[in-house]
Amino acid sequence: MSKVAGRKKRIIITTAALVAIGGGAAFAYWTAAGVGDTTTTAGTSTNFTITSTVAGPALSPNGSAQTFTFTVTNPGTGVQKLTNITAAVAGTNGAAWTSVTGCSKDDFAVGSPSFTATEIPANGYITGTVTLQMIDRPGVNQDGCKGATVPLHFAAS
Amino acid sequence: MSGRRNTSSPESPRGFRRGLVLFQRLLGRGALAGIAMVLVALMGATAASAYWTAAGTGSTTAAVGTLAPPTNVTVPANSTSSVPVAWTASAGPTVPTGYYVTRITGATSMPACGSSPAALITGTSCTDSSAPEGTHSYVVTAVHRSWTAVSAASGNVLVWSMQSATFTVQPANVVAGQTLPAVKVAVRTVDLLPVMSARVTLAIGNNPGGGTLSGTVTADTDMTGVATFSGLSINKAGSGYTLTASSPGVAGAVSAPFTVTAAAASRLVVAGPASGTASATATVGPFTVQRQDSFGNPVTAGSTEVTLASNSAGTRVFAATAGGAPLTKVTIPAGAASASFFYGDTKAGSPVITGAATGLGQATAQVSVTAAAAAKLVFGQQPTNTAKGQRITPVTVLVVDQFDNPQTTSVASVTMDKTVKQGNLGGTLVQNAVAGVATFSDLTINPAGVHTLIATSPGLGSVTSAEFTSGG
Repeated sequence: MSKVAGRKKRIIITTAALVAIGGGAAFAYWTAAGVGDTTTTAGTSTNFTITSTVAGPALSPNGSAQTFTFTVTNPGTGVQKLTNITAAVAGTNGAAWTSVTGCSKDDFAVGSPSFTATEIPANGYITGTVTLQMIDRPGVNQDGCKGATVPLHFAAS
Repeated sequence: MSGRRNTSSPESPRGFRRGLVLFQRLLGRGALAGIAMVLVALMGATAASAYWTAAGTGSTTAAVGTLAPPTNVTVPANSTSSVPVAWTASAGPTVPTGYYVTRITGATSMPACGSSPAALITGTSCTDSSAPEGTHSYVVTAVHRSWTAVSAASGNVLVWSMQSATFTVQPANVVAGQTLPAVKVAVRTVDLLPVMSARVTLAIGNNPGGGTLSGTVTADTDMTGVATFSGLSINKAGSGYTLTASSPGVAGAVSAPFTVTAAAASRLVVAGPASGTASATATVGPFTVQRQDSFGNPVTAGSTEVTLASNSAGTRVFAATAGGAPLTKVTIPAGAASASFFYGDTKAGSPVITGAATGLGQATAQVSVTAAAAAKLVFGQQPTNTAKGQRITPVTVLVVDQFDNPQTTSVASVTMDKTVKQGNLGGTLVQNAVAGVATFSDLTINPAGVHTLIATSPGLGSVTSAEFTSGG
């Protein structure tokens, strides 16, 4: 009687362990039918936040470039994948920059952002860099750009 | 039951018990395989993870530098066709590649200094050598690649191509030291247009009297292009003076000649030889006593009687001619500025001759009178009383001219003797004069008694001393 009970115990324990460890593993099961309804709230993505710092001398035609170090942060509660980042001379909302007469995005060259596309865990972040240089446009009066404040707009996806 | 594993309770039906045994065997083998499969799955497979995709934006700004304009663009107020332009370099970290200069005439701007956006000047000055006549200003543009920065305009520069200056009012004859009537000089362009604000300077051209032009000798032309000079004067008389007018870029103009005459006489001046020899007649000269104004110009107007005098202690004499009849006055006649005279003095020394006339400053002149030729001997230190046979205090004999002025250059040989022949005069009895003085230091005399000494020199005669005694 005790031997039979011991074997039962091992079987039960083993089965329980298999269920506990290998929940996803294929296992022999019976099929059954049944219906039931309930509801749950699905999660959603949260916009990345992008901040940056800049280093380098003030821009001038064909002068030294400024290097921006940007930080993309995932403020959400789940993993979010960062696939692409773009940078352009544009207004805050990405619209064309027209606030300085005689100076436009055409007077500047934005380099390709340097970063690693990756999944960013909740509250995690990655950093990257991008350069901005003023172009010397012979024959074009670029005096309008003197002393200008040039907006650089980032977009992450 | 022995040898077989009990897989069920004895109370179970036989068939059911056989089934359980079979199940147990199958379960034992299957469990091992299942566990192995689960472990393999857990250890070797990558777990599939889920993520969301998201988007985001951000903005920042970049500062653009600037190019400061050059400052302090300067040009002269007036210039000929060449205009020097200078400026201060742009300040700040952006250093200009260079500058170009623009000349602004009214509403017209023209490149200047041979510069342009394609031909920059790297320094901070240039010369606009082809500026046309007119009033211009200049701006300087700094260039740094596509950037430019324009300075504020310089002050105005008046550019003209001058032909010459001309005296429109000539200098007139004037008395020395008195103000010339206003002299005017006009400066005209090649088109005979008046040039305003041109600096004109006057100077003496032909200067027959060695005079000095006093007063304000520079003036700027007025609206009519004329510079007026008032308050000028010349201090020396002369005939044929001219003035010259000059201005930058202008060929000098020369005035018509004019005369400067002496002012009124105010003093006498005596000039003549500085030295002469003693003489009883007026042999030193000629001296000239001149009538002058306060600037030293000789005055020929009027006649002036001049009284002559000397402070000499000797016998002094004046004469109109050398050795002529003595006189005490000479006259400067009208038409002449001076009179001459000779002076004689028997006393060697440095007398002061004066010439005086009413209303004029007295003239003085000092003359050095030296002794005439050696003519005789005189005792300087006479022999003194002494004991018989003892050395007499040194006795000196001087060589003098005819007026007893020591002939200090004489080296004549002088011989000493005594007038009473008996007895002996001992010591060195022949001495050569030194600076006109012969000294006898070791004379002795015998016998006791009253004696006199006699000194002689060839050509100078002899001289006898005073008496002295030699004691017993």
